[in-house]
Amino acid sequence: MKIFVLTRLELRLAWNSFKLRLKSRPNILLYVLILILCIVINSTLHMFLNLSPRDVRLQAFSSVGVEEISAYLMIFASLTILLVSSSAKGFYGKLSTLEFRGPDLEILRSAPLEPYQVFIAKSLKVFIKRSLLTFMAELTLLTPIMTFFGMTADRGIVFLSAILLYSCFLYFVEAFTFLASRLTLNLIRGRARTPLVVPLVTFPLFFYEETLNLVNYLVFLPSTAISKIVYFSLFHSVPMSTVTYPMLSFLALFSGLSMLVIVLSALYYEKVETFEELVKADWLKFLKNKLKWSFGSRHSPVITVFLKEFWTNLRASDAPLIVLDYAILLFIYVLNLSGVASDSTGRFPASSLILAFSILLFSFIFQPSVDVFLAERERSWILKVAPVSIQNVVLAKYLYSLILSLMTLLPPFIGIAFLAPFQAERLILSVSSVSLLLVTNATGIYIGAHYTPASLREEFPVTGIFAYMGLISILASPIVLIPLLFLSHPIALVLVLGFALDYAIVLSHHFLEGAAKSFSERDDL
Amino acid sequence: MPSSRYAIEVSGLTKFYGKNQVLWDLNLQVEQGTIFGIVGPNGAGKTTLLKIVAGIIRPSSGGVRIFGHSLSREPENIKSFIGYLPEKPRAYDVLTVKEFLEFIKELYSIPDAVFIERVEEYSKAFGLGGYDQSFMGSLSKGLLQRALLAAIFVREPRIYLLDEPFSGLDPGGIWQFRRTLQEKAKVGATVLMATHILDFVEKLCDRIAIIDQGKILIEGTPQQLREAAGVQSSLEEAYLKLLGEES
Repeated sequence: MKIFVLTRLELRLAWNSFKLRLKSRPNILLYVLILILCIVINSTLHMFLNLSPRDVRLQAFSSVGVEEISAYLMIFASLTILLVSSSAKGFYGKLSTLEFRGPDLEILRSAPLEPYQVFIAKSLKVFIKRSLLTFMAELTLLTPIMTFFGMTADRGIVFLSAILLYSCFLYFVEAFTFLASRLTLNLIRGRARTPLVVPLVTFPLFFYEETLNLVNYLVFLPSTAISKIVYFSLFHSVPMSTVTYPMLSFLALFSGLSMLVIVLSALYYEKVETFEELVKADWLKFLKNKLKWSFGSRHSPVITVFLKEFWTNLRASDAPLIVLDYAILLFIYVLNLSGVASDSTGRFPASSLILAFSILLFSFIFQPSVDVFLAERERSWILKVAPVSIQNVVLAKYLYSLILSLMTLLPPFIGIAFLAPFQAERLILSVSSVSLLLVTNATGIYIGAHYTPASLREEFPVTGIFAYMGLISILASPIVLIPLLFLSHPIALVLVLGFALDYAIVLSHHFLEGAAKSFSERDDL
Repeated sequence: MPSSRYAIEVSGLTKFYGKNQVLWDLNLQVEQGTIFGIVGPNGAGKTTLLKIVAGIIRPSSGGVRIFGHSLSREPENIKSFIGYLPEKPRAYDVLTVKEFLEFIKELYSIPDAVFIERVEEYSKAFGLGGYDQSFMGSLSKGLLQRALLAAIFVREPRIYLLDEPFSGLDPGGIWQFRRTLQEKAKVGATVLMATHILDFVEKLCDRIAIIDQGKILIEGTPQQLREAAGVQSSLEEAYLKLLGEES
């Protein structure tokens, strides 16, 4: 079967690329560090969680009252989602790995193959790669958690499956976005400017209770279900069937939906692949001819490079328009929810924070900073020979990704302002969001400068994604976690938040400097 | 700016890519107003040398001085005097030719009036008149090369660093490019050019260096190279003899 031949080719390419990276000393060091990090995290968790007996620790949770337990748990659950999703961005957010490019166009397109065969082979490779990584992450985290909570093997399996469900949900989100982008490209080729029209078409969804409920379920269901499954498998001695069946249903639901979406995507695959075909698209003509493009006049180099980033990204990918659609739709949605919450009907009270961070999840999936150097591949000479300091180039790219992230963050941010239950938590969430925005973007830029492959044929390496995950998890989590410890001490809380913001600024500056150094010292980019 | 009779001075340049050394203690001086050709077999280090002089990559040791100023100490100041053409022409696919030139104008702070005048002149010279609204990504290799050459010439830099500049150009394009380059050299511009086309090098360059395995084998005028090789016919024959590639 040709699909197997193609899958073998994809896997061989991935394996060879891995072997090639093993020849570079910094990459070997990084792989070793990742391995050590996994062992250290595993052992530390074991040690930390075993310091205090399980009952005492659970008692500490219960002593703060039921309301606060749920708030704590929601925050921790949300934080997990936030961290995982920001980490996952570099991995689950990548749609481009499924596209025809470079040698695919030259070799595979001229071969007697159907486009869907290439698509399925590429999808299989992505699935295998992700499974391996998820397995590694679970191996690191699962045993200490199981030991601490005294989980039996079957509960461990449920917990493990909940993580799998979450991965599945993210894969579904990505596949859906991929399909949406394919459909959009198809539609706009001949007719409407769909990315600009989508918000108007979907607008009525938010004005009818029935459709609004449907949207609510779609947004709430995954994160709430996962949190509840995790919560029950950790803390409650409920019959396994009460946890297992819903979880299996969700797993089946999202696996099925993912498969459906992938199959649908295959139908629209290869509709727009070459640049020549792409420029025939109406929306590009529209952007080229009907909008006034300008790099301005007498700007600073930062603004000039920023404008270049903006215009080229707007034309080169759907991402900015998708983000714009997302921001508009989410804004309307959040406004609707705030109305619901202010009715005090209690329809969404317990999940408000999960909602806020679930929305942040999406914003971090769209987080664009890691990709900023992808556009420079084989073109970086233009900026490197220009009389512009590399620091200014990096700053321009940082500004671009900040603005794009801000667009995605603003609606949930407004949502937080309406829905956060306590003043202190509202303050923490606000300052933390800004700090996280600064840090995650700067980290992404740093990782992008460090790991973006020079060749157009190569994908973003897994080492880079791990490095991003590691840096964000270790360095950004204190921004949210430490202020939480001072919830009941207002003055200390304000001081800690001030420090958190300072820390974020210093850290961002450090990463931007590192990115500039990396970009200027790389011979291949 | 000029504080030296040499536009480009390269001293003790070495470059490693990992463990692979591609330049070995390379020294080179290019006088102002000269068209200097670098020739050599594939993998000799020509592109690496040009990239280092353009400030794209850093040398492992040694240094580059432009008009007597150190490239590593004043990179931004010096880069405004340099026009670089890469071996593999690539630009931002989704910018039109006009927009790309505007971007270059802003990046190099070219005054508007001067820019408009020069764009008109060089677009005409390189046959880009009908392509100003075309995306860079949709241009053929030759047209892209013309667009990038135009982007260099609208800046009128003092130094031209050109890596395989004839690649993809049709005979008309090559003629126009050679003519423009010679005009620039006449008014004091310096050209450092790497190419495999020895015929053009012989006709165009004042001085030539043959580089092999990261070292300069010989440097001089085309006549001096022929004399050193003991041949009187073509530079190609001299080149093959000097490199020991003659069958």
